[in-house]
Amino acid sequence: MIKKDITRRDFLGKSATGIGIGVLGALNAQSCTSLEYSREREVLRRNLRVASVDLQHMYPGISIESRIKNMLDRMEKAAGSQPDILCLTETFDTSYVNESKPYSEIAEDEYEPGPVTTRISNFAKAHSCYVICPIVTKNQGRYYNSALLIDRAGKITGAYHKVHPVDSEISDGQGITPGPIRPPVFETDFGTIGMQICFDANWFESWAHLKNDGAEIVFFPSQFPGGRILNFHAWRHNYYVVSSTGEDARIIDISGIDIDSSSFQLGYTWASINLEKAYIPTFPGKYSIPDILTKYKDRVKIKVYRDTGGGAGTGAGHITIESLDPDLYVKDVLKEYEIPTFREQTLEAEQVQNRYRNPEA
Amino acid sequence: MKNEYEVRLPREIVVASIDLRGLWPVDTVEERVNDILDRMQEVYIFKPDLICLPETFQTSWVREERKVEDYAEDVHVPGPVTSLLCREAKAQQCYIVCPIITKDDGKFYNSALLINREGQIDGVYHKSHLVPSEIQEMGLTPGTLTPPALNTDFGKLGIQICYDANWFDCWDHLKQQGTELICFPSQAPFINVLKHHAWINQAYIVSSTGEGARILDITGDEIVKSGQFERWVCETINLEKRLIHVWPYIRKMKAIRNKYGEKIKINIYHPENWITLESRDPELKVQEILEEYEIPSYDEHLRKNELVQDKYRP
Repeated sequence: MIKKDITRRDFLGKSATGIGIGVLGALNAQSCTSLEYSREREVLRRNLRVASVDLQHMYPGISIESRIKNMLDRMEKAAGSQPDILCLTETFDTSYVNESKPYSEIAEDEYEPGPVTTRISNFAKAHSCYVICPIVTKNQGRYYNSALLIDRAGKITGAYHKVHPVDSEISDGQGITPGPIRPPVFETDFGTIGMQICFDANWFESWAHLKNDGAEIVFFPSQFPGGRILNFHAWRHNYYVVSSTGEDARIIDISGIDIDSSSFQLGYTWASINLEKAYIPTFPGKYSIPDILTKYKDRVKIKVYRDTGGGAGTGAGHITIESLDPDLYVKDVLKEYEIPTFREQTLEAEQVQNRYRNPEA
Repeated sequence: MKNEYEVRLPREIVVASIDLRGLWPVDTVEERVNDILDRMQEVYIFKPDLICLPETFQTSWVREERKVEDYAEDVHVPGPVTSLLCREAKAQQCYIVCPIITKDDGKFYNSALLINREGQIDGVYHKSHLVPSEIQEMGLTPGTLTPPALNTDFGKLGIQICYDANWFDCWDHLKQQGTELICFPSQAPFINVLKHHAWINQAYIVSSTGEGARILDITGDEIVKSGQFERWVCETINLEKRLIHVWPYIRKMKAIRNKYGEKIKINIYHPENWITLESRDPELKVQEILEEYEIPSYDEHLRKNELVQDKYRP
């Protein structure tokens, strides 16, 4: 049994030294001598620190080089929060930079790190953290407004292509190519993530695909902040949304409520978030709260949100429940008390409604 | 007939909504109906065009237990409760959204009747997304997923009830029919959720719930809400208001302001990249300005971009 006070970074420091998720899984399978051992590691890796930078005070930039330097400088400051993943702003190397270069000169490969990606990769490796690196990329003769996922070892492990570029970016087919409506999700050592970029916020389909494909956090590099639109996507799909924009950077809870946002003074934000967390309806959730608290005490954190709505019934809108104990999975608690998640409850209700619906009335 | 001294823009209306909080629990349906009628009196001084009441207001949290078939009212011929509300509507010359259990063709529904200024039933909405217990225990039938946009003399009105807030299909159907105002009788307040429905559908929302009454702007901003000192809301809203995307149309706002001055009210919603334009002149329609400056609606702007995206998507 490993010590309870093991820190997440101690643990990840070992796992990140040249190994990926596959090896992490193998470690669990081969080295674990007890169920508790396995679970402790699992829940530890479901708690993570996210950080995100904004572009405030960096524009207009004089040159691409000065922009990259400014961004790296801010990233180093944000690194003090010891993030497991750090999100950068949409096309951070070229947006609002006076120096203008064609895509043919700035677009980087999605597999072999180019000039910008190499420097971001070095940062990722030095700080043993993932980085969402949004730049223009080229792939099979096409240009994309992308967000690359760089892992803790500094390796590019995935690319998201902006689904909904604005028409001027596409430039009659001479510029950016739109990505597929069903975007990819990416596995990390803490969970499954997805990305959406800027104008994507105005469409709902791809956000829903990400949820259905298992995304637990959606990163949102952007020029525009998104405001309440992002709170909606987070609530709608009960995943975290982390934005990095020209005006601000935000971390939004699975309930759709802001956890933290960047300040004018710092230009970056950070927070600990727990993926071992569920969003449940007030009914029947509220009836089990006293029993859950009595049994699990400080091993769970339960928060009742009065004003957000969502659940069936009256009064409190919804409840979030999260595990603070490596030995405890939220899904096990919900199963024990027969509490559905909000999503499960609405799907179940929909089946009943459709069975009895009068299509004419 | 409204007050002849009152100056209103052509598409300005006064909407009121009644909060159920403080009126529950009570022993009898009669008590509850009287309490609601009393609370409605509070807003009459404002000469409202529309009053929204809470979901199943005559029976929710009423101790007196009765069978659904004993209190469900007809959707065409006013029953006991509907008759009282028809009387009020006629006396006040206002529309009333009257949410009660109804019966129609042998089925029971959780409904909201629209009563017009003449005191007649002028439309009905049957809750689409019932809570399973309403179906399995009360014997109610869910309504269609294509709810009607109800015609009024100020525009098209939609209704959604309580649990409906968790779905998007019906709200979207109302939007496609040109609904500009959606009444939301409910037990639960669904506060943040309603704000999202407002901006997604660019419609005003008037909620009347067991825990508050609210009026939301087409951006989702809360215009007014009830509280412990007044359990009702009443506000003038202007339906001559539109939401557009900021880019690239922000460039045209200066010219619009220069030409129309105080005749047009322009608000910028910076984080969301939205602009709202509201006409403050009886002769000026927002649509005419949009056409003059070749500015598409928010949805047209998205569709225009979507066409280009789809054309070049591999």
